Amino acid sequence: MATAKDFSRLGDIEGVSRYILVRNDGYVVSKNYADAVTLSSAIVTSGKNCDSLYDDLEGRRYIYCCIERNSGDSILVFSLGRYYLGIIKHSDTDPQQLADTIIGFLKALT
Amino acid sequence: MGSTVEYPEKLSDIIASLPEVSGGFLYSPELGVYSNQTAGLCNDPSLYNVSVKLSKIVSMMSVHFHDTGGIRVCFKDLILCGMEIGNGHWLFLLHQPSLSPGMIKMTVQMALNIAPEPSTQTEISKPGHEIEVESESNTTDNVVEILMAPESELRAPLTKIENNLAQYIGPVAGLVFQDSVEVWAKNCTPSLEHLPELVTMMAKEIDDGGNREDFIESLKNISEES
Repeated sequence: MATAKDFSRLGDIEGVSRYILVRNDGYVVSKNYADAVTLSSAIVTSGKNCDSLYDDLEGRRYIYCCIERNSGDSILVFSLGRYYLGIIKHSDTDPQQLADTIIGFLKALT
Repeated sequence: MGSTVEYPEKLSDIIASLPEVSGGFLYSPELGVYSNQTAGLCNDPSLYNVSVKLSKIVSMMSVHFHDTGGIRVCFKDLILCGMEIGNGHWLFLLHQPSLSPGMIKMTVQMALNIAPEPSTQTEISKPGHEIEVESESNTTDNVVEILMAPESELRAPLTKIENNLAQYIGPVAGLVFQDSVEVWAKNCTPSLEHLPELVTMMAKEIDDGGNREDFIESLKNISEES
């Protein structure tokens, strides 16, 4: 059964620069990012807004969203029930490949 | 950059030039959705909601990161990407996953005559901003540890509840379990007779109504079994 400590292995995944796992009330469950607390509300808002696209786009459920940055260190956001996972990727990493890896990691935690 | 009145025409050009793009729309806070070229995929109110939500995400992220650009939301067989094209105007495109972000960006920049943005050095790579690996630990762990101790009569039923929950909500079941047990333990004395209340609490975390009922059904005798 996955615990917060299991999620700390996200930091070992190639292409992951930082990660933050946050509950929907903003509580940071696990992280390897010093500014996680200040980023947590943006992660939660991102996840909630993307979840609610289901109502706007004829029942389409999002898989992940990517907020792009000019530096290339884009932010990926995944919804995990009432938790949200934010990933800051390395600039030279393909976001789609990284997303696939993250999804594989999450499935393996089940 | 062209004037804003040209944006709908430019959007049409972009859609026509990229076969993988199935449609797009334009939005600004003042005008709302002022060009819907999604071929009926979505109505204007829906696209307005989408625009507000996605632009808000980027806006919030830009408080923390000062080099945010666009946003891409990935669905099973469709990607919705959006980018601010100046003066608060947003251009959104719906396209197939096979189309690369780089190609879209280049096409849009060419169509709108936008100068490419210079790459900036990420602030989180600066020396001194050290990685801090930390998993939060609080009294929740203690409560769960006590209730899950080998000598606890609740160990077996709680384990069953957690395992059953995992079948429906996946990898976060452990976290939901810990949170729920903490609340449960605060609201009532943790005991076998109060287990149905815990099951009800956890069932609310299962989105699908059928799965929720199955979960409750699988644990309806949890107090008697233990």
